Amino acid sequence: MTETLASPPAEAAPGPELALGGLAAPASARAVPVYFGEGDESRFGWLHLPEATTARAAVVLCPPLGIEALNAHWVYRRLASELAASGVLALRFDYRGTGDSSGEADGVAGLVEDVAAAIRFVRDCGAPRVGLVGLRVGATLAAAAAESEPVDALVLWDVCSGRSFLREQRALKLLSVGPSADAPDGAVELLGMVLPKDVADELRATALQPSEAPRARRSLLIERPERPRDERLRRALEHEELELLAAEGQHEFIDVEPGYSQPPERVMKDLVHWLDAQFPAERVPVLNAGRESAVVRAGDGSCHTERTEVIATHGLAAVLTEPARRDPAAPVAFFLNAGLIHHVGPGRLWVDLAREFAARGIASVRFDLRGIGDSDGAEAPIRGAYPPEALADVAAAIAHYCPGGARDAYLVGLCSGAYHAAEAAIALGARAVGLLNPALFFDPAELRVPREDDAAPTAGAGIAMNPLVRWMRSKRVLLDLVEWRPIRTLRHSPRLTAMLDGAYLLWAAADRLGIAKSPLRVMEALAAAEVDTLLVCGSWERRPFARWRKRTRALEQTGALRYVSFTSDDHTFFEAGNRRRAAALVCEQATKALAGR
Amino acid sequence: MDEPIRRILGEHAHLQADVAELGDDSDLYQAGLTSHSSVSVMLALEDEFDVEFPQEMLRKKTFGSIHAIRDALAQLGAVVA
Repeated sequence: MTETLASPPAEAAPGPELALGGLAAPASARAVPVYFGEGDESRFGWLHLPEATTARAAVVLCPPLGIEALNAHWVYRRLASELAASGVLALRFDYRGTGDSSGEADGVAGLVEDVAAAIRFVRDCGAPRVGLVGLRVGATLAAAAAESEPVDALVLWDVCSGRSFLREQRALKLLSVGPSADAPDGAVELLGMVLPKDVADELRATALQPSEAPRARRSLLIERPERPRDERLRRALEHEELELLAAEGQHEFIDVEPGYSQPPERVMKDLVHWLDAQFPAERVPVLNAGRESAVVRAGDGSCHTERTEVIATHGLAAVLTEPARRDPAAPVAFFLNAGLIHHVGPGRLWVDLAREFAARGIASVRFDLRGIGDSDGAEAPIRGAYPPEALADVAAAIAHYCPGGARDAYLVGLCSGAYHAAEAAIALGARAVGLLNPALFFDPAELRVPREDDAAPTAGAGIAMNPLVRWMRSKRVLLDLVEWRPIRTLRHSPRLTAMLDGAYLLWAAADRLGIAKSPLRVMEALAAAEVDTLLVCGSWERRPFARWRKRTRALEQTGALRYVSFTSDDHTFFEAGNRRRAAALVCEQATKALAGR
Repeated sequence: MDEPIRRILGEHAHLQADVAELGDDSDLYQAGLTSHSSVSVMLALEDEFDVEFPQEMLRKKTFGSIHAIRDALAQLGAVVA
């Protein structure tokens, strides 16, 4: 093993201009959704094609597993885009049984085979050379695949063995949402993921092992500086021509909840630069050798079709799950982003529900709002889970898939997704809406910092913004006042919040003035718009409905609202039992919407 | 035992508060400890004291204060100068 420190970009030979720091790739480079792999079930990925569909090489980005894959999604998208800008074909993909891919995560061998299939796929696209990037457990899987499919360049980023991964993720699950009473025998539950016992046992025994020959012409090891040097890992890499790089900012990138992840800018820049230096400048023509759709299986074994497309008018990435036998009168279900989690949903809830819906003859669409996941604008710095164009995006998705109008739409959302679902259902008149742990406490609209392109005409969930509020907002009248420290402290006071929770008349007055919207008033607006509503609340989200129990019950008695309260404070349903219960409720509501057509 | 615990908290807990100013019973979660950070703290404590936290001890309260961490380490038989 030869070890050198990776050269910083400033000292290296000049390469092509890289589109870093959130800049989009040149317009001529583009990303296309692809399905690849042998057999009737496919792996899903995004292929980033360089300018003029010619490439110097290809790089396959191997994601981590579980909740870490959610944090990696946005960083991988940017890396792929930046690699394409430097003339490198880039593929980011989901292993079997994860993300948008089909199949089940049935063991480590299958995951390694998926990496090998991705390498073969980019070679089929015409790439003359191949590099591999693996993050966390993805690095271990990438290195294992490279033993049978040697590559030109291998990047091992914060490598972690299966044992470490399970240990850390199991602890994280217990420290976040506590133990699960109803975990199936022997299964190991992590945050947002359940591994059957045999798969967990196999993963626990998986670590980078010494190889007989180099896995790559050159390798880059990106290690956390705060952790002790791993001698076992160095022995496993003894045949590699190794360069080293410090994984600065790894904690802020990976060890945080999805939505709070900060991209490790310096490491990303150095990584792209290192890969750029591994490939000659000569380009060859490449093509997209992928398929446009895939067969997926529902829990009952029935087969259906999935296709990923971009709604061109708004640049929205959407996955359509088309049932083998579609009920023509059934609504189309739309799954909205939960916070900043891309369209697979927390714990892959939207993917599982989409396939269950297909088995019931219901088509569904899971898509990303602009600025989130795979949709346009997501390469720019994170703007938050409430982009001003959210309502327009939901309307565009409905218009694209429901030619008969919004009464054919069933909107499902969690947290901010529930906010957007409620807002769109009221504004557009959807048939039904499923609100899971909705984030329905709105700050007065005037408090939002106006943006140049923010023409949002509502003060939240379909109520018109009062002209007075609109004027106050443009002048930032209240904004400076409420950000004054004593007032800010008061606003965040639990006692004041508790008082405001119960102040129905105050909320109603604010609502009438077009200043704010209360959670119960949202339910009343949905009932008035004749939207069948399912409301699922955890211990935090149920507070206003518990205080206004009488009014909530009155809505339930009209049949317009089904209200279910959980005792858990697992806001994102990262606990499998909560996920199963929520999924069952949503399926019941979908069936009801079908029966009541 | 407090010095290595405070050092580990300083290096791995990513608190908003200054560790030196925290009392023995100060609530670390109030001070900014997250579930993710508590896993980093757990791993560092295991390395430092050569112990392993069993599953039943992986509760928020185990890492809720310096006092609680010290008690947990003592329960695990951690040897401290």
